[in-house]
Amino acid sequence: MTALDAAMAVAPPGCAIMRLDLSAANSEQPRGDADARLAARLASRDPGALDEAYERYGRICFGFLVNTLRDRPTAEDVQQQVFLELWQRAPTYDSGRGSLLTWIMTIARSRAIDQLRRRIPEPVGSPVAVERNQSAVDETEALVEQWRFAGLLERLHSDEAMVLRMRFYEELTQAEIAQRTGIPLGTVKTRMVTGLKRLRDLLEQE
Amino acid sequence: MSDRAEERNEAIAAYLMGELDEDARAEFDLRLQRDPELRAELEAVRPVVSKLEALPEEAWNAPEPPPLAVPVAEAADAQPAPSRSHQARGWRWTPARLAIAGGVAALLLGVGVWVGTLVDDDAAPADLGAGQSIVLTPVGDEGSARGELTVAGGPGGRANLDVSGLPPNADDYYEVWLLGDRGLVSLGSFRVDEDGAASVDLELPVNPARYGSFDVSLEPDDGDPSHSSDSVLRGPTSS
Repeated sequence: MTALDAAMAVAPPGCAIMRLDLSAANSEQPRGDADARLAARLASRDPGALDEAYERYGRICFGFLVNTLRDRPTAEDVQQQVFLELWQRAPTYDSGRGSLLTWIMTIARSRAIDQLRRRIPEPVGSPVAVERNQSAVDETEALVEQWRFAGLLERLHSDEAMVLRMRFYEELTQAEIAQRTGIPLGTVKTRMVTGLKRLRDLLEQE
Repeated sequence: MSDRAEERNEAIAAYLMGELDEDARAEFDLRLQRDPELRAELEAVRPVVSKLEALPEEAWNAPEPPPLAVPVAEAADAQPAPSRSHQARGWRWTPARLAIAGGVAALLLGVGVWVGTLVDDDAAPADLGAGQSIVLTPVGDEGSARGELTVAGGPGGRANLDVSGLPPNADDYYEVWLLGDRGLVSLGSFRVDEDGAASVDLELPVNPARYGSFDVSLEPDDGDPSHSSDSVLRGPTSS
């Protein structure tokens, strides 16, 4: 039984352990390299590349859109637009300007803002200005950052992600995490430290 | 990692997460005052802890996304998407074909309708028929510009847009949109030739009837995918 399994086994009913997809989080391979290869495959019209990008980042993107738009059907529409645009614009992706996750979230932000503004472009020279809901836009900026950060959590090892989740979402102390999971306290602390360090490194890489 | 370094890092984490008791915290504060390296290490980790503490509940419980509705197998057989420096005349539109989730479901149910009609939309006006043309008229200063969008037949949801009279522009490009109360959907971008003309094949990834207008905008090549608000042509989605 893995530590994640153990945590799930002892979690109270209804308590989610980690609904972020951590299936890819165990890889030792730097995600940056994998992203670059995936971007290259998207640009070369590899049929599996879009599916892989969706598998990797669809959940985070959709979470952001639902969180921002507060309307699931609209978020579903926009989600498709985002990944269609990713596919269409893949040849223009420049890895030097940010990770694939950042690019996807940038597209998602723009499409979400379009929705929030419900912006009907006015004729050039029209005295009617395009109405901009600045507060909603500002909120979107904050949310996209939060969700981009949430996307980084998926790059952690599952054991690290688990202790971070239990600490910062379930608000357990490290001692309580150790007690709940049966993992030695020293190991919990080590995973906490390595998880935080890895997140710091990923933030710097972004 | 040495035991000392590990101890330092664990102390930093415990300090930032508020897990030190009063005495231990006071002692750590003293160490911070004396040890600039320790302070630097702590400040490097602090933003990470702050971001984790600020994550909304939704971000820890991201919802299951809908199935991807871009049929990449078909798209892979089509031509690559154009670069922005590509001249538009004779250029074929980007290959991706978006069938929205409702449309896919309808297809799976064997409903023999093409994309323009398969979206569940109670309030939608009549869908565009094959061969139907829509005239796009100038917006703002583009008085001599004109566009005609003709819906193609078949199940793919395609249309052809012929434009003329648009100023050629080496730096910027034109983009075609559906717009309405639901928001905006980009149908793709193009450039015109030296005569200001272009003929562009479009995919219609959503039902145009759900949107009010076709719109052509002039877009700066600035990497921002949102609408520039500089529309040059527009026409209704129903003739």
